[in-house]
Amino acid sequence: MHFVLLLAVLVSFAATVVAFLLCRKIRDWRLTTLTVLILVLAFQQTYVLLEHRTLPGTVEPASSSWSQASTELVASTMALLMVMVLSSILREREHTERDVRSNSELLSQILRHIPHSVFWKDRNFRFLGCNDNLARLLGFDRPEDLIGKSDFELPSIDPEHAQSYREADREVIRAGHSFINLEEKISQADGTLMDAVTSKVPLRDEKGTAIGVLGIFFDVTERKRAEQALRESQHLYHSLVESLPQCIFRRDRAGHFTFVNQRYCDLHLKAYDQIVGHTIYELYPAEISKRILDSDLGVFETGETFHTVQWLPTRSGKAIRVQVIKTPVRDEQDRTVEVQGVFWDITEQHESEEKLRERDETLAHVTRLTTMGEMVAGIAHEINQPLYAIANFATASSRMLESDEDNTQHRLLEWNREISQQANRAGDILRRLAAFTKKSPVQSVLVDLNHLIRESLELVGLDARRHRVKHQLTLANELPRVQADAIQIQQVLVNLLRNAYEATAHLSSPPHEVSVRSHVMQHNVQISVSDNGPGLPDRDVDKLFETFYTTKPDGMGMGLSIARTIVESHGGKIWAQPNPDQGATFSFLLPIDSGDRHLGN
Amino acid sequence: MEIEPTVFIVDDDPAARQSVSALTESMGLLAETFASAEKFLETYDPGRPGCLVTDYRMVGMSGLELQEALVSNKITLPVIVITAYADVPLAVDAMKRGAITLLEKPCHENELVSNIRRAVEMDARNRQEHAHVQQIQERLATLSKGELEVTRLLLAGKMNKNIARELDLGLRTIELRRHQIMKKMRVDSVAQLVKALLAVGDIDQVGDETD
Repeated sequence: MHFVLLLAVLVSFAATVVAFLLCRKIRDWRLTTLTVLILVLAFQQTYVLLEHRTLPGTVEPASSSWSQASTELVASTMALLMVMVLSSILREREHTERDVRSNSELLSQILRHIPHSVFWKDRNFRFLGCNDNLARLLGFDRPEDLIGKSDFELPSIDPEHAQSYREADREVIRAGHSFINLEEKISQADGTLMDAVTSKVPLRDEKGTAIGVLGIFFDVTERKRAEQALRESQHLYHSLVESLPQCIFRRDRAGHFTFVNQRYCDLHLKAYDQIVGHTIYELYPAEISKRILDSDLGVFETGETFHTVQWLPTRSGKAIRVQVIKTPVRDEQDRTVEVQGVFWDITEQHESEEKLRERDETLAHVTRLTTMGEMVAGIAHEINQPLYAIANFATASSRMLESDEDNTQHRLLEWNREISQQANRAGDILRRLAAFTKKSPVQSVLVDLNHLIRESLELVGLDARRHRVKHQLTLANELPRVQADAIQIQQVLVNLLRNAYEATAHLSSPPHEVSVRSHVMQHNVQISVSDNGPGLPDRDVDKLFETFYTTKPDGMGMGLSIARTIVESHGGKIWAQPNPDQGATFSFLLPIDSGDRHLGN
Repeated sequence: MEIEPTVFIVDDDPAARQSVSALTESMGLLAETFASAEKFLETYDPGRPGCLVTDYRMVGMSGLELQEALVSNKITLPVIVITAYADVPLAVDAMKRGAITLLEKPCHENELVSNIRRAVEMDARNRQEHAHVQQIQERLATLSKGELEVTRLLLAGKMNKNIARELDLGLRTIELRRHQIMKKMRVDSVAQLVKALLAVGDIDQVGDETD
C-alpha cells in the first residue's frame, strides 16, 4: 500500500518538475500558473504523505490510507496530463514558429527579386522599409539606409516630385484610399527619369486604422518609350500619307474601300466616311469601276505588284491621266486580303510628252520637206523619164497612124500599153512624193520593209543616177512585217541612201556602190545601207546622230538626228560602223511585233 | 551594097529606150538599143551608118563622156543628146563635143523625129563625102612626084608653057604629065581637077604622105 502511494508521489513530483520545465519553455503565464498550482498540490500531497509516515505509532485506518492513495493518484495523473498538454502545446508552437520563419523568408526573397520596387512608410510619411530594388535605384546600398527618411530627404528626388508623392501618401493614409496604377515620374540616382506605374494601399492596424502606406511601383520607361515611338511612327506615316501628292487607297476583294487618304477624298470631292466602307461603284461609272476591279483582281490572283497608266474621270468632268501602282496587302497567312493603290496625276506630263511628240513629228516633216527641196531636180528628172517615153510613144503612134502601112495594129496596141504604163509610173512618182511630204499624224501599220526599201530607191532614183551609183540589193526573202509609220521609216531610208550617195561622190572614180540589206536579227528586222565612200570620221562616231552635227559643208545636221528620233520612237536603234575594207555602214533595227507576226512578200 | 542606116539608142531607162525605138520604127528606120554607153562602145562598128541618140545622165559613163570617147575613137556618128534639164553650159559642152543637138525631155512632137532624120541624112552625107575624098586621095596617091608637081602648078592656075619654064622641062613632057594626071584622077578638065582636089584640101600633105 505504501509502495503504491510512494510511486504516485514520485510520479506526480517528477511530472510536476517536467511540466514546470515545459512551462519555462512555453513562457505562458496562464499555463505556468496552472502548473504551479498542480505543483503545489502535488507537493502538498507529498508532504501529507511524508508527515504521516514520520509519525511512528500512528495507526492509520485502512480507509484513510486508501483515500490518501487515491488523492495521490489523482494528483499524479493531473501532473502527467499537464505534461502531455504542455508538450503538445510546445510542439505546436515550435511548428508555427518554423512556419512563420519560412513565410517571412519567402516574403523577403520575393521582395528581393521582384522587378518591382516596394516600400512602406509610417503615418508621418517616413520610410519603414523597402526592398533592395528601390534602395538601389535611389542610390542606397542597403534598404535599411532608407528607414526613417522622408521623400524630401532623398537626394535624387526633386521636391516637386516628392510633393506629389506626399500628396498621394496623405490621401492614402487620411482617407484610406488605394491608388492602383498611378503614373508617376521618379528621378533615379543615376540622373535618369523613370516612368513608373505605382500602386499605393493603406497599412492598417488591428482596428482597421490606417497607420501607414504600402507602395509598389514598376519601371515602364521602356514601354512608354515604345509607345511614344509607335505614336510617333503612326504620326509620321499618317502625316506622310496625308501630305503626299499621291492618292492612296486600299480596297478589299469586293471592291469596298478600307482606307483612302485626304488627297483621294479631295480628288473625288467626298468625305472619308463617304468613301471608306463604300464600293468603287459609288465613285465611278459602272464600266470604269468594273475595269478597275478587274485590274484589282489581277493583283489578288497573282499577288504581284503592277503598274499601269489609265484615264480616270473626275468630279469636275475632266478626265485625268494617272499612273497607278497596285500592291497586294497580305495577312499573316500570306494571303492577299486587300489591294493597296497609289496613283498620281500625270496629265501634264502626258500632255507635254504629246507636245514633244508633235514637235518631233513637225520637225520630221520639215526635214522631209527640206530633203524634198534638195531632191527637186532629181524628182523632175524622175517624172520626165516616163513623160519622155510617153511623148515618144505617142509621136510614134501618130506617125504610124498617118502612114499607109498595113499591120500596124499590134504595134499601136503595144505602144498604147506602154503609154498607159508610163503614165502610171509618173503618177506613182507623184504619189510617192505626196506621201513623203505629207504632214500626217503618225500611223502605225504593218509595214513590209522590203517594199519600203524599193519605194525609197525609186524616190532617190535620180540622186543615184547623178552620183552614178550602182545598187546592190540583198533583201531577205520572208521578212516579217513591222509595226511602223511607213512615211517616217521611208524618211530614214531616204536619208541613209542619200548620205551614202554623197559619200561615194568623194571617190575619184567609179564604181560607186551602195548596198542595201534587210534581214531578221532575233526579234528585229535590221536594215543596213553601206557605201564605198571615205568611211566615218575617226572619232565622234556617235556625234553623227546629234542634232546640228554635220560633216557636210552645206549640211544642217538634221537628217541623222531625225532618223534617230524616228527609229527610237519605234522602239528600235540606229548606229554607224566603218566597213572592214572601205566606206561605212549605217544600220537600224526595228522590233518585230512579237504577238503578231506577218510574213511579207 | 549600101548599108541601111541604124539609130543607136543609149539610155539606162528601158522605157525611154523602147519609146525611141518605137519612134524610129515609125520613121521606117532600124534601131538598136543599149542600156549603157559602155555596151555601145563595145559593140559598135564604125562602118555602120546612122545616128546616136543618148541620154545625158546615166549610171556609169555619161552622154558627154560617150561623146568624148567617140571623138577619140574618130567615130563621126552624129550624136543627139537628150537631157531632163538643159542649161547653157551643158548645151555648150555637148555642142563642143560635136553633138548636132541637145534636146530636153519630154521632146515636142516630131522634134526628136526630125532631128533623127537630120542626123541620119547628115551621116549619109558625111559618109558620102568621106568616101569621095578617100577616092580622090587614093587617085592622088597614084600620081608620081613629077605629076604631083605639075598638079600643084595647075592648081595655082598656071599655063602649060609657064609650068614648063618653071620646071625647066619641055612643053611636051608637061603635056604628057598633064594627060596622065587627067587620066589617073579621072577628070576631064582642069576645072574638074580643081574641084576634086578642093575636097581633099592641101595636096602637099598628100604628096608628102605618098613619099
